[in-house]
Amino acid sequence: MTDTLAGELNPAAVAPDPLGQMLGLEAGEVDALEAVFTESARAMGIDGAKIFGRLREGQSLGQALAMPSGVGDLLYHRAYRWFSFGRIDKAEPLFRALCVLEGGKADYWIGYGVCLRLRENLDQAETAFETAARLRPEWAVPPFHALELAVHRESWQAASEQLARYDQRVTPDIAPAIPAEAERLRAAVALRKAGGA
Amino acid sequence: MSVDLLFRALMNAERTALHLLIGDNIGGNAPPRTGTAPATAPAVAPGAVPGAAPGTFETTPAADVPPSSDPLLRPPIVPASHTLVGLPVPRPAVATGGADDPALAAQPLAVGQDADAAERTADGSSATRRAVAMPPAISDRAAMADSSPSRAERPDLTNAADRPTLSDRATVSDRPNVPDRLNAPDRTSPGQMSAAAPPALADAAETVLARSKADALPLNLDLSALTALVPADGQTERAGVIASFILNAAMIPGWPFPRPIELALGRAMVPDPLPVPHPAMNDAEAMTYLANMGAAEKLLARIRELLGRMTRLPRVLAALAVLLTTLGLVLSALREELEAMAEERRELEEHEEQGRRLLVG
Repeated sequence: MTDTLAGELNPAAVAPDPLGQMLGLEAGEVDALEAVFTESARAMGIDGAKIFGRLREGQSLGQALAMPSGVGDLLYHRAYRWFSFGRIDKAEPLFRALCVLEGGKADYWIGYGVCLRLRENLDQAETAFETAARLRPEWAVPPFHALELAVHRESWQAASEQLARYDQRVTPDIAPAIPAEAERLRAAVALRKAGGA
Repeated sequence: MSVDLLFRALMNAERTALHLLIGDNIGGNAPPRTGTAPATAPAVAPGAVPGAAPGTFETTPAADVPPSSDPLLRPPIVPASHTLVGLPVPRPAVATGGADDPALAAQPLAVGQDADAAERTADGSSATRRAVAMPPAISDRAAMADSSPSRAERPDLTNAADRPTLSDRATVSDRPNVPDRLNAPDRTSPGQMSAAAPPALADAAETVLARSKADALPLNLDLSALTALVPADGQTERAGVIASFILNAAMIPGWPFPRPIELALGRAMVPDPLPVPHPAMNDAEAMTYLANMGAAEKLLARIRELLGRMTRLPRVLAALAVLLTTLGLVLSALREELEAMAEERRELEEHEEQGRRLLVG
């Protein structure tokens, strides 16, 4: 990547790579972005060129950073522990980092979503649960949390939809606490329907 | 600290904390290896959250424990949706990798570490010090770093005797009901970074871009391509990668937050034109944001030099902001966790020293 490339390439001349597609940039713009990202990352003490090259190939940030095996498990372990001791403020950044570093794991998105929900960042929590549902469509846990969130927001139509999703996916081996609370939420939705009818 | 060193320091800090906490109690001083970790038997029964309510909305006590009449001794009532019920209980962190890597294990201790600490963990004479009981406050922290390699040595929270102490419960019961904790300042937020940035940098950014303001376009980074990359089955990591970018982009001031339904429907994440309540940043504001993230004046000038001829400068700047925000948030989280682990280790060592003095007299 040289200075002359920035802005001189015909943006449409080269098909955009995965990163360009993600960011809505043409190939020439991605080249320019690479130059400034590399310089910015250098200021942070990071080899930005290597990271950017991997991001261009569509790798996650964790892959791009060459995160060693075990770090993800360590961070999850720490996040889980912080959460269990009531330190949502400490757990949330770790779950968020996990979502960035290994964004394909639905577990991390649920953890992040629960933290966001507890901190009343409801829009972001909804997105996190939705992402978990897309990553693991057969799992009953994401619609369960989305159901609770919808009830909390009094979005009754959404709550009905999430309840149906949950019912389709729930299996006998799910943690007993989840069906127990789902029944409470089901009653809330039914009461609302009865009241509105 | 480079990213690589940060990763290694995290793993080393966890390993050292493990030795300090459990050391000889696990049958030797050697670091736990992957092979010693059980493939099954999570430390906590599915559906339970360590240190928190077992998961039911109406907390269910274990069958062998009569319900207490003392309200202080009752487990807190926490809805399952406010817990991590359903998620896999984390395996022992050290035993799952990283520390198994000889190259990683050979790395010198980094931030918050000292060579003496590592030597002490390999010193059998330290067993006495480790055997000193820890007070509850320290125990909480110790539990945070507990990474014992097998179920046999881990506290089984399904047994009443191993359940959290009253002090533990007091801590846990704060969780959903203590706003100051939930709303604790997030030092990784862009707003915090903005507040900490030298005003001169922001001014410099404005100056640098003053001449290009005439052709400043509304920041309307088209993220519609993101949704196109999400396959119908939703089974690839790409969906998560995209969502992580989107959530982090939403932390940039002025960035309209996407509704999840927009993802599902494949609509543009940032509609064009932008809705009225969401005025976009222009390129000067984007540069100011970058300056507030710590970009030096020289770097900003360089960015302008490199990007000056771009016709869609705001879009590229926005993309840069997204990438740097994401990277910065991750690195901040890792650094803060490393600091927390180092602090836990220091407190534990101090407590051990106090215990030793009590024994020696």
